[in-house]
Order: sequence, then C-alpha cells, then structure tokens
Amino acid sequence: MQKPVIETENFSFTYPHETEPCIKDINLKMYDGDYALVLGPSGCGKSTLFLALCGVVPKTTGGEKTGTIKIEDVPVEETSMAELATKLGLILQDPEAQIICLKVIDEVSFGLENLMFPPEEILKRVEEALETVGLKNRENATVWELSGGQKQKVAIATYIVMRPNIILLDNPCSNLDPRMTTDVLKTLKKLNQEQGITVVIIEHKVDELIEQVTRVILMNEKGTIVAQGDPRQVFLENRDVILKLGVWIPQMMELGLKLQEAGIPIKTIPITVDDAEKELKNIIKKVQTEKAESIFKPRIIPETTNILEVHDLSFTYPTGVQALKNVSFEIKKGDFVGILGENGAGKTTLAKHLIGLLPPPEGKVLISRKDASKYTQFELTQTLGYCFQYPGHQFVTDTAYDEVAYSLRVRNIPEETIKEKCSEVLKVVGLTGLEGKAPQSLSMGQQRRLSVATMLVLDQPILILDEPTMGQSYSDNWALFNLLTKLNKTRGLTPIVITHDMRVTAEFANTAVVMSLGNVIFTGPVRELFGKPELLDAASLYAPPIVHLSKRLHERNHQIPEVLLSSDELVGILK
Amino acid sequence: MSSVVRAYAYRPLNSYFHSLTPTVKFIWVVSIGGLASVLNAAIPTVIIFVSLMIAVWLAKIPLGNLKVVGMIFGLISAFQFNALLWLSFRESPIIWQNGIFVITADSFEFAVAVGLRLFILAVSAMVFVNTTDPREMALGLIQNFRLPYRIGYMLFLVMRYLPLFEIDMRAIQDAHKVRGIGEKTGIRGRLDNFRRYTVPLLVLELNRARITATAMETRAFGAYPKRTYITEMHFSKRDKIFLAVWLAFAITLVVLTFTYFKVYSPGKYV
Repeated sequence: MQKPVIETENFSFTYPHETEPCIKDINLKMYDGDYALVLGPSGCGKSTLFLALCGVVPKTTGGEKTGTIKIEDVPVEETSMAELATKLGLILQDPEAQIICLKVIDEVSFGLENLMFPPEEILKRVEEALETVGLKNRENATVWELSGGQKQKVAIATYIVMRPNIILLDNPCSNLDPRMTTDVLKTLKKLNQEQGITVVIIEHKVDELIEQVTRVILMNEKGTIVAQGDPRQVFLENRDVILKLGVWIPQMMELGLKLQEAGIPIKTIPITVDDAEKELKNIIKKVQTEKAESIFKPRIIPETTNILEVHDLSFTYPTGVQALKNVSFEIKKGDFVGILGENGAGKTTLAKHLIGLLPPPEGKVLISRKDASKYTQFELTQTLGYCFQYPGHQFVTDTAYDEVAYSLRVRNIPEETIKEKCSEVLKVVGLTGLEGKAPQSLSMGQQRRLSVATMLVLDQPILILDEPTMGQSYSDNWALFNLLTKLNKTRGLTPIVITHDMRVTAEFANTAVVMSLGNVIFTGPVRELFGKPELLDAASLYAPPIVHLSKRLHERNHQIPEVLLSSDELVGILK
Repeated sequence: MSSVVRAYAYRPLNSYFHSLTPTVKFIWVVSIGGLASVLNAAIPTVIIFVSLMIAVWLAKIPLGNLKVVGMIFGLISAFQFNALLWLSFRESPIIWQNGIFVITADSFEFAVAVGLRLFILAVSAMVFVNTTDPREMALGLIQNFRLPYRIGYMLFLVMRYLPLFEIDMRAIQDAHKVRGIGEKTGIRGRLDNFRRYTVPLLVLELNRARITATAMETRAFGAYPKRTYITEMHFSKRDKIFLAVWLAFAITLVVLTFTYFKVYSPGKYV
C-alpha cells in the first residue's frame, strides 16, 4: 500500500501567550503526486499548518503542540533541518521578502550551498531548475529586473533545486496579474504532472485552480479540517459549511447555487465551465429572443458631468523609466470604474497623480472640474479618498472608533457631530461593536472596511481602492463590493477600483480603464472589454468563467448574449 | 534622510570598480580613510581627493548621489573648514587679516586638510557601497577574512534590506498624507510623527524579518558549521594590478608627505 508523504495525526498547536489553539486536531494524509488546494476563512491557521509541516512551528516560534506530523514517514521533529529542506519547500505570498540574494543564480544556489553541495553540482542543478520554471538563461538577472511572476518562479526554483517531493505554496499568486497567475499555475501543474511533486497550495483564486487540483482541504475558523478529498465531492457535499465559512467558491458553483435557488432544474451543481455547459445545454434551448432581450439589459454608464479627467499625462521616474505615456481618459460622476492592467502597467503611478503623491502638471488632471495642481493636499483629501493595498499602513490611532474620528478631528469638527457620523459610518461598513478594538488586531477584511470607513466619513465623491480583494475572504469581498454598489446608487459615490480580479470587475464595474506599458489602451464599458479577447490578451488579462460560459452557450443558442458578466445575469435569462 | 539611504545602496552596473573583488575594495576604502585621517596636510589631502574623484569616475557614480553626499558632508566639511581657519597657528606667516580675524598660512592648510577629510570618508564609503553587491561583500569577509558565515550573512541582510526600509517608510508616510495628515514640525510634532510611523513600520518590518527567517531556515541556512559557495572570492589579475598601483600610490604619498610637508595637529606641528 502506498504510504502518505504527509501524514498528521490529531495535530494541534497553540502560539505562546494564547489560550486557544490556532490549529486543532489536524488529521491529514497526502500522497505522492497529489495536488491539493487548502481553503478556509482568513486567520483560520492555514499558514500555521504550513509552518508546522516545515518544522518552523513550534521549533522557531515556541508554543505548544500535541499530536504528530510525519513527512515521508519520519516525525518532523526527528528530521534534521538539512533533511527537511530536501523533502519539502515553502513558497510564500511576498516574493520580495523571501528572496534573499540579489542575483537569480545566487538565490537559487542558496539552499544547496547550505547543504554543502560541491559548486559544480550546484550549477548543474540551478540550470535544470531554471529551465523547469521557464527562466532559462536568466541566471545573471538581478531581482529588480524580474516581474512579480518571475520572482515567484525564482522562489519556486530555489526549492525545486533541492529536489523535494513536496512543495507548499502560501498565496503565491495574490500579488500577480492574471497572466502571471496563469503562468505560475502552469509551472506548478508541470511540476506536479511531469515530476510527480506533491503540491499543496493556499490560494483564493479558485476559478484558476479548480481544474488543476486533485484534492481540496477545507478548514473552519477554529483551525480544524472539516472536509478533504476530491474537489467536486468537497464542494458539493459541504456547500452549506462552505457558504457559512465565507470561503471563495468557483464562479460556476456560485452559478449552480443561484440556479437552484431560482428553481431552475439542474441535476448537479457545476464546478467548472465544462460542467456548467453540460448542465445547461438543454435548458438554454428554451430561451426565446424576447425573453433574453427583456431581462438582459446592457449596463448604462450615467450621462452626467465628468468627475475626473486626465489629459495627456506623461511621467518618467528619475531612474529613466517612463511609467505614463500620454494617458488620457474621463470618468463620469456616479460611474463605477475598474482600472486594470498587468503589473507595472502604470496603474499605481496614475493613482499617485490623482491623490497628489506625485504632483500632476498644470491642466493635466481635473478633479470635480478643477485643476488638480491647484488643490492643496488637504483639499484633495476632502474630494478624493484612497484606500491603500495594505490598509494597516493608514492607521494612526489605537482604536477603530478613533481611527474614523481622526479624519474628522484633524478638520476641527465638533465632537458631537464626530460621534454621530462615526457610528453611522461604522454601521454602514458593518463594524459596529468593534469600536474599541485596535485596528491592527482586526482581520484583513475588517481592516479593509475600516480603511474605507476612514474615507467615507469625509463624504468624498470619489473613492479609489487599490487591490481591495487581496487577502479578502469571499464573504468579506462581496460585503465590501455590495457596500460600494449601495453607496454608488444612494450617495452618488464614484468608486474607482484598481484590481487584478476579473470576476469582481465583471460583476460590479460599469467602466474599465485598461492600461498597458504606461498607455491607456481601452476606456469603455466592461461588457465591451470582455468581448475583445485580443485586447484582454494585450493587457495580460483574461475573462472570468461566466464570460467563457456565455460564449459557449451563445454558440449553442444565439439568443443567449455573447458576453454575460455575472451569474445573476444568466440566472435572470434562464428563469 | 531618504535620499542619503538611496545614495548608500548597491547599484548593479558594469564599471571598473564593480569588477573588482570586494576584499580589494574593502582594503581600498579602509586605507583611503586611513590616509585622509593621518595626512593632515593640505596638498596630500587634495591629492587623495583627486584620486578619489578618479575612483568616482571609474565607479560610474551618478552625479545625483555625489550631490546628496556633497550637500550634507560638504556642509559639515565647510563648517569644519571655517572653524579651523581661525585657529591660531603660532609662528606662521599671516596671509589675511581683518581686525581680530587672522588667517595664517598653516591654519589655512590645516583647514583644507581636515575639511576635505570628512568628505573623502563619505564619498569613498559611497563608492564602496554603490559598487559592491552586499552578498559578495559578505562572501569576501567570510572567505578572505575568515568571518563566521552566520555573521557575514547578518551584515549582508542589513545592507540588503536597508533600502526596503526606506520604501516602507515612504509608503506609510504616503498613506498618512492621503488622510490629510501632513508632517508635523517642532519637537512635539516630530515626536508625534515618530509615534504615528513607528507602529505600522514595526509591524511591517517584523513581518518581513519573520518571512526572511522562514525563507532561510526552510533552505537549511545554519544546518552545518560550514557551507559551500558557487562564488569564490579569488583575486583576479585586475585586482592585483589595482592593489599594487594603489599601495604604491599610498606608500609614496605617505613617504613624500612626511618628508616634504608639514603634517598638522591642532595647535602644534608634528
């Protein structure tokens, strides 16, 4: 009988100074060649489980453990550090922090040098490892020359050079644009299928992974595994638990659940686009022209005044890198905008010009019809809010309440009004009851909503959010975007979201501004964008599964629109 | 502050200085500092300064970096120069006098020497750091000076992450700025700024340190008392020529200085 490569028995671990275990009664068996996706709400101990498998927890962190972990049949605490490094590798979310050396060759050699391999053998293996991850002939490149995806591939190479049987990856794609994500996931698939390496991955990009993985491990908020096995089985048999935990589910599963809810007869809930097509091919035959047209209406971009105008804006960093090249676009008041594009396309540089961190030249940026160069920083923050990618950077006080109040206190608003406004805003973002909590101690989702609250309290007409889906659970993400939609409709807020998340863009945004290599290559309706594969390709983007499905259904029945943007739209047509 | 940190970061380029082994550059930077400190005489110090400018050219140091360091250390040097100019050197011919202010020939020479010294130390350190990959510097110290590798890598990581520290600080400052919270001035204001930035910066850096430590540990760093290296820090022909020329220059300068020039220390001749 085949022996598991990873086996844990009732493993629990409690961090020092904590009373409750972070992970509890973990019973896990992984076999050679498995490819597993670990899902669970944020803070449920997924990363701690990985650190325990690597022997870092509790050896380095301290804390108490019970139960056992065996890697290739040997208890982890009885395995030396050197042996463990040749058995399994751990790749983390932030490649910047885990890359130690400045040159690719030095970085990939680091592990083997520690293991006292002779230099000739190291160089041979480094060449092989770089070829495997698709970075042949890049050994002399410095880390600064590499894209985010390439850095993650270097991180993968640093471990496969030690020829481990297991690779653990903790959110390796969360900072990557769609094309880089596909690229990294392809590399993992290759390692799994061609070299038989066992891959265990924590990632919320389930749509991209669902067709690759052979197992899903589901953890609950108490750090316990509640289900594991075949992906389809885990998703379908635990749908209520999954929805309650608020973890990311494949868009096709979301569609299936909505179809069932609407009373549309489907035999099984689909997980992939293939499943959904099979399930719906007969149902769509009944769709009539009038019905499709009456239910499906293209999203209308409000014809109001421009709230933001950028004219011919160019910018070159002192290093000589031209980040913006004659960028021009306009945004209407009350629109909901997604700024999309590959890593390094110039999105952040553009945002810096809008929020005054880089002063825009005279006449190039107009905010609320006034030249942005004429605003003081203080005036600008009254007009335009900005939520950073890492909300923790923005916090300046000790409690959630003070955090929201601070924005008003610096504007010398009476304490009575502050109290009133703060409780209103905290209620809107769903943080009532957490007023006394320290901002840094809140979950990632709560921190994100708190940072939105610190901006909303000022009633700015424009709110820019940088990568708001990063590190968010499915339920937190939907809560945030539903909130933005509500504020967009009720208060006339114009949300501008800088994102790599195509599913969220398709579902919520009206207008897309697409950037590539410092240029704006498209401004227009999101539906139009997802109908142009060549444009998506040029900007390293891809369409979410619902767009792929609608295209396939359209080929079967031309009454189905070619580009549908959300599960709700398709359900509306089939109802 | 930030531009100074940037001026003292490694810049991967192809220059003559980049191609020298770190150990040779280490010897150069220590000896040029030593020469500037010992040879308190105007003409020898100016000669050292000229040799340093040749090094700056050979290292392709950008003018911007030189300006930053020039501004800060040049100001301090100028201040020193000014203060020392008025030092009274007895028995030395007066070259300028205005009322009670007197400049003697010796005080002028001494001021030039000391004023330039700090600038030489600052710029030579910049040439070293700008042209030396921190990892190779650590390897040089480990392989050529027998420094334990754990300590060598600790030094390397400090140099590697220092520029990132500045980037993080700026991200936090930006985040506060978009909330309408500007930099405060005055002692209380500065203390307040410090308090506001400390917590998020600490959270960020501790997190990074934790990730780096995990990345090193899971790749067996420290598993054995020794490790192998794909890069051997051997002296190339170019290194040997540079070292020979430099040492010949340094020794000649020392001999000539003590033979033909007055070497000053405050208030008396050496």
